[in-house]
Amino acid sequence: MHINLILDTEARSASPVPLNVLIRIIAGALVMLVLLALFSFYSSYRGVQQEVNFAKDDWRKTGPKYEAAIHRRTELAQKNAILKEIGGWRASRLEWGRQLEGLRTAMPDPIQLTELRVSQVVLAGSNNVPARAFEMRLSGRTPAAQAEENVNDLRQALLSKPAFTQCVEAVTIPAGAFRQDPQGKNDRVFELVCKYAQRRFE
Amino acid sequence: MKLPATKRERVLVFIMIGVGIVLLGYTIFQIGIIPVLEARKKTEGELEDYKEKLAKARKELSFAAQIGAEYNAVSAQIGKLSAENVLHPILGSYLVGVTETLEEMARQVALKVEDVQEVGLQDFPAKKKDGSPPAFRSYAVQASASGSYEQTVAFVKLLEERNPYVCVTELRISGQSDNPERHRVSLRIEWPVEAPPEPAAAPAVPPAPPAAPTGGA
Repeated sequence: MHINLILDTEARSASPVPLNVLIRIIAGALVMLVLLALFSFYSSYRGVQQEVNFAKDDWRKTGPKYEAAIHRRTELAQKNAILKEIGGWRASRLEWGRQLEGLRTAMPDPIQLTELRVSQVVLAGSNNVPARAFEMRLSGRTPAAQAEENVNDLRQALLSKPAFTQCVEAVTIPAGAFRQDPQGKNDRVFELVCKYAQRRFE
Repeated sequence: MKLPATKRERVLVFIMIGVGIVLLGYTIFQIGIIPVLEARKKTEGELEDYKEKLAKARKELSFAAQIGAEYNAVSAQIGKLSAENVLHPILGSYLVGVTETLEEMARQVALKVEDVQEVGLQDFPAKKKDGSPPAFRSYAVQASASGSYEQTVAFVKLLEERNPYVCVTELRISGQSDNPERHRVSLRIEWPVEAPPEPAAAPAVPPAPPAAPTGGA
């Protein structure tokens, strides 16, 4: 039989550190930890805010310079577009002085030109870039003897002479254009059509 | 304060205390901690934005001298082109200057210019990629002349050498049976001219108030 002579309220813990004290120590430590975390958070937050203020100051000084630089870059782009536009115009033209001079040297002696016509149309080229398409029509007369050779010589010259090789795409004789000269049976008249490669505005 | 004597009541008290602590913690978290964390996150985001903007600005500014030099060079180039190769009107007329130039060049090569007719202004066919209005237009004239083939070639060469932006877009050289040495020459010549600046959008003008009635019949 076991008789407990000590009331519950009189009972003492066997531990050297009483429970109450332990709870207070843990609570105090927790409070300290929370305070430490709050302080650490606050100080780092203040640091970030200070960095923002420094960055704002820096931007106040750098911003206007940056805006000016961007403005200048935009202006440069506009000026370059103007140069490109006028450069495209120049690239689209054909130096007719050089062509006419080349024609003089390419012309076989027995051929007499009666008319030269140059015309151009502006076409929508590839990538939507417009282009000039030039055409030169030559009308001429040549003696009936060897007329075919003479006209073919001229045709070949227009395809092979240095003045034309870079720009002439095709030389054709329209159907019915090579015929007897109505003014003299000993001559033949002809037409040649030189199609030039398209010259793009770029 | 003493805990209740019975175990059941003690457990109940502990549960209530626990629930209270959880509710209190949740309230503190919602009211106190979340707004502070959000504010910090916002400040950090702001800092990142500024850092990014500053880095971009510094990078751009590192090119500023180069861009400035390029801008000056391009401006000078455009100025030179405008002065030397682009046609400018004289008292509002392009034809006067063009006629003088053509006649002066024709004299040099002994070609006889008979007539210079104005064709007019036309838009450049090429459109800018950004859709901005073109900086140039073309001005064309139709000239008729008479001379030999050599004179015509010399005239066209002189015209193109003096201004490499002049474009001969049509040409006709026809022989004359009564005068085989002199041909009839017809040329269409185009020059680039500066396009007028686009008119600024007119400000909205409120309608004028109706005029006060006068005593007329």
